[in-house]
Amino acid sequence: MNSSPTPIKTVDIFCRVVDNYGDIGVCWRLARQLACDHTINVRLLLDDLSALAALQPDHPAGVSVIKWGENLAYTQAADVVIEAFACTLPDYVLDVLKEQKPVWIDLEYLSAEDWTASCHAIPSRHPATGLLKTLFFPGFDARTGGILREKGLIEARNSFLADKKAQNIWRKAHNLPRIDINCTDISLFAYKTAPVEAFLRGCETSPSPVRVFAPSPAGKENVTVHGALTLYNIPFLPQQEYDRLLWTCDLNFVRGEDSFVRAQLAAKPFIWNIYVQDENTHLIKLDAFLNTLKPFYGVQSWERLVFLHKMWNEDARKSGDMGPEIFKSLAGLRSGAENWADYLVGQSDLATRLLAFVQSQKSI
Amino acid sequence: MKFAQDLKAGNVVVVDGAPLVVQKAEYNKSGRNAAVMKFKFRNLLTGTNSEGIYKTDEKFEDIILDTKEVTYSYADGDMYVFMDTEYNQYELSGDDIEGILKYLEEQMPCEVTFYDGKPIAVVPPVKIVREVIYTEPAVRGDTSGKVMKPAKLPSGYEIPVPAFVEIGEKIEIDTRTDEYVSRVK
Repeated sequence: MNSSPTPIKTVDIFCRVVDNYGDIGVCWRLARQLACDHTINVRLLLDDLSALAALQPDHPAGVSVIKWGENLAYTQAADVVIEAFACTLPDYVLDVLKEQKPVWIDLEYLSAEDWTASCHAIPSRHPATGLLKTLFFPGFDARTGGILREKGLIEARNSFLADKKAQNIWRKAHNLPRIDINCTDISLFAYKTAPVEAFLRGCETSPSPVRVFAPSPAGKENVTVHGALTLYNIPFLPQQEYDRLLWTCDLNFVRGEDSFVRAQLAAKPFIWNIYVQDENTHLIKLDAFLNTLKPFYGVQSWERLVFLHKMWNEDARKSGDMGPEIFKSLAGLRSGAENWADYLVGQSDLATRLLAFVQSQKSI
Repeated sequence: MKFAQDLKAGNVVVVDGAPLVVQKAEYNKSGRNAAVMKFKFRNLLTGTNSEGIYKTDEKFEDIILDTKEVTYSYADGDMYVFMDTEYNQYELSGDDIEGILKYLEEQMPCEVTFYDGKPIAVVPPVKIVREVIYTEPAVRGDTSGKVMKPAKLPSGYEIPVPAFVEIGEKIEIDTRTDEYVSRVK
């Protein structure tokens, strides 16, 4: 007699906030998608609740947020326990896992490198507990865990972009200027390592107006004009509002992982500021990603894309030249970004793949 | 106890009560991901093979087994023959020594590991020297060592080397990580 596996009803996601908002941004999106798209009850266990507050999340049914610390009374594991970004579960959690044997996933960072595909979703016997633990690698093809993309995102994007009035209403609500085809609008979100000042200086001498929207570190809004450049310091936007900013811009500078993925799904040209690592290992990761994009761009556009990424991530001295380089490349970059987004949308999303993998483990 | 990153082909660890010999160990690291080891294991009790992916700081209980200094003699089909100083021969299959096949050369000194009196694995020297038989031309002026390119060894295996390395040069390799160490004059 065949017995179908028990449906997955509950998921625990453990996350430590190391710095910035990347890890928590990804975990929140995953929690939200599991709850909203798959009707799963999710407990998001965070060591720092203030980081989540900065993202100003909505409160979907099915997601509860719990402070994770020494006082956490963890007695009942969910069907699936996700250890995000190698955050290392404490012994009192491992004790519960040993007793209740949930499916245990270590969610890793997104990368286009080949080795991540070869290490993805291989259940491995954990030496200390004897439990099976699986490293789950997000990625860009069917060999990997995919990327996060909630249901309805692309429809919402297309509908918004087809409605100029809605775009301008949204812009007005956020103290941003109306859409103007004579202006190049740029969102700018970067680490301190990026040569932002030099880039902005390059924009000042652009032959046409450039409007840059950058989150203000202090959350203080202001507008300043420098030659052809108008710089808008804007508050940190909640995730869903940030999507709309990406959609209404001609070019998006993004960083880390969460905004990086959202920029790709926006189908607009983007420049990625990758998180700097010791021994420049991040540059290998950057090269792997750029090589993955190659078939989706025209030859010259791809070379331009690589050139711009190198300047933004490696060679700050030349970044003053980025403005002119970008403005003459935007059409080709846009076409490539659209092709890439279409390719991504043609694949299943990370939450769906994760649940399919978990289900396969429960049937064994 | 040994960290995952210190395990190499030939080591034996106990996982969930089963003795597993490491047949192949690969180190992977980049970006923000935790460095991970990919292992190919053989269960010494059942003979079954398995793969495992572990963070490099995962701790394993290791077993110290009998070992013997040998040199590699010759291949006979899929069997590889090693000899000790008393001319005793030990045969291992290609699967048993998969992780070191890329470095194997006649008279190469190694260490054979025994379990229950049977040879189960071969451990190569930590550092070996091999000639580069092909690589793209050296990049003039780049002596930083940060820009890497593939270089082919006599076995056909490719290893990343700095851009300044040329065909015919000898390089030192760390067999634990399969990484280039330095040029050898």
